[in-house]
Amino acid sequence: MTILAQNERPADDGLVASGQRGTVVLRGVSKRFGSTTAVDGVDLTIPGGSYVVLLGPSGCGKTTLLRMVGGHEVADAGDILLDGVRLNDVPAAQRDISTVFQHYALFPHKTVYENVEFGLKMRRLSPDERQRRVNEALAFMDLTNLRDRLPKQLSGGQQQRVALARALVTQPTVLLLDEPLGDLDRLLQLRMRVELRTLQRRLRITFIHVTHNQEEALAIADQIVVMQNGQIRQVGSPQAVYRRPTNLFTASFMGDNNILAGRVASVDGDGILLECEGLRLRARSAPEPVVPGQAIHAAIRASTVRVRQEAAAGATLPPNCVAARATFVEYLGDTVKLHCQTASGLALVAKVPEQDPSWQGIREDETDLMLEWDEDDVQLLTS
Amino acid sequence: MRTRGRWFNRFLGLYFALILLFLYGPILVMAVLSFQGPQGGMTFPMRGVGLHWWTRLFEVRASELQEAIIRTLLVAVETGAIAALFSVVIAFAYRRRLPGSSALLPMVLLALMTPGILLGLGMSLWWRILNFQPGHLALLGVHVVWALPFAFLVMIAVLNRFDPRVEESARDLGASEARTFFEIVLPIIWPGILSAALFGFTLSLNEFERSVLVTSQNTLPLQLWAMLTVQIIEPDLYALGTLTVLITFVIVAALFIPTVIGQFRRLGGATPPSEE
Repeated sequence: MTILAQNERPADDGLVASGQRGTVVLRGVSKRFGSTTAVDGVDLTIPGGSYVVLLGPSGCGKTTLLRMVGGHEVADAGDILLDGVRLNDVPAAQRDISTVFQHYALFPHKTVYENVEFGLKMRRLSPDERQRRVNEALAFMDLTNLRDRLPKQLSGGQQQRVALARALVTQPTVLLLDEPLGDLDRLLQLRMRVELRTLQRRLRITFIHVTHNQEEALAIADQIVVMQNGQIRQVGSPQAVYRRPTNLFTASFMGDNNILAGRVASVDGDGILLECEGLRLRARSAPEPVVPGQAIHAAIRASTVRVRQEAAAGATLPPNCVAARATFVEYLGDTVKLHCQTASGLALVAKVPEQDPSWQGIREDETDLMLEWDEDDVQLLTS
Repeated sequence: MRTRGRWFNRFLGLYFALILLFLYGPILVMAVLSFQGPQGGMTFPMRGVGLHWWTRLFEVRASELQEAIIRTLLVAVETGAIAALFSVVIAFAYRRRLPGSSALLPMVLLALMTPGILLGLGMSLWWRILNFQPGHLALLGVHVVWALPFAFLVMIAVLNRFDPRVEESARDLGASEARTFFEIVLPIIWPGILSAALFGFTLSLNEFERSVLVTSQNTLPLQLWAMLTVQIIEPDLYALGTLTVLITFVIVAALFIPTVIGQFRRLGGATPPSEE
């Protein structure tokens, strides 16, 4: 199938395709708009054939970064390389990169067929070759029966498939997607994100996808790049970014973390003891070395907090354990969120599975609870 | 609309009806009076009803006015075309945020604020200083100056609604600047360009005060004014006025309304088919 990129073929021969073509390297890339710095000295390597999601709140520079890779914005400083070739001065039209734009940006006056054909026409392919490849792309994206429709006659999901077919028919080595699921309703979003991932697996080309939706990023990415204020805060697999945030921003942006401010009390061979607003925490390790007395933030994921219905026995509690009461029991269907308050006034959230009996019978502001968690689940936010 | 109340809505309806009456009343009166009987005058009452003055318009007046009509149409078409072309270029420059583009809007709109009669006077003085007999060109000049701000405003509105990502995606797919413009941008914005041209055309067609000092060859409004001042006026002028309004209306309806509908559809006025 021609729509599959060249590196699909070695994969069919049993070779590993990823890491071959479509490797994007950014070195010290910066972009300013007037007095605001949109992208600030970004260094990043995106392995060929991987699905990378740039994640961050609006205005964090993720779209600007994507546009610089696509050639729709010129970097003020730094190098952008595709497979070792510097791209900075290559116009968008000549890059081996295609973009699925936000809101798809289909040509409103052209039919589905003409939209998909456009890139091939610009590449001056023969009419026969064009026809063959467009038909293949349409069949591949399940659009054959919509070929004569205009974009405005299509639903959001269909428009997205046309945008994908149009971008992929030219066989790029890198596909850029700017908020591709933003225009779809929630149920379709859930379905299309699976389809995007499946598509990327089939094509084995690099996908760089921009979103502000954490769940979407976790669901699709090989690598998540968390961005804030034009800078990269953390790069890692979905599990790493979700479970092991290394900084305050990532921990709060990924959601469902209890974030506590405190101080390092002591550091010994197998752990770090912290004092956080009257609460003693013990962590296994820190992303960066810490010293006693250092001010620090710690994150504890709400779903790692265990709940027991039991009053404090009076004796001092061990670290990672605290007496509290639930101020609000938030029932979410498959999980239940317990908003708790400790005796010292600290707010903590515990998230337990709905089937778990531990939350049943808890009366708000009445039942005495014991909250505890493992030292492995205490994340120190040092970077 | 429940919160606004029924009386408020009725008031709005009445208000709208009054505005329509205010706008179209004079034209309607003129149209009705053009069907005066042969003994009828320029005002009510009607003395009989008939096509007497319409017949007279075509049989007697037409030859008198023919030259002015042709001249007027020619200038109007030229004004529309030039204003559209210029406004497209200026609007694109404005959109690209070229250096000095912030001064562009007030500069272009300045021509709107300048009293027309002074513009005409300045223009005719200028040609005299240059010792040049411009005739048609001078007329065209003031008309373009007059029509350009309107055409420019139309084009700014059109380009505002034009998603720049559509252009970017054409470049992304390998199109040169020229192909992007002619194959993508132009087909999308041409209804807007047509509206800009139409604006220029209608403004030129009815232009009086800017023209009066710059040309000795009368356009239709000038010719009518001349007739009003020197001749005994008769209801056939009403017939001519009605005809002019009718022609303008037909042109605008034929070209402008599809444009508006087209823009409306593109903006998502038409409901897309339900999700597959």
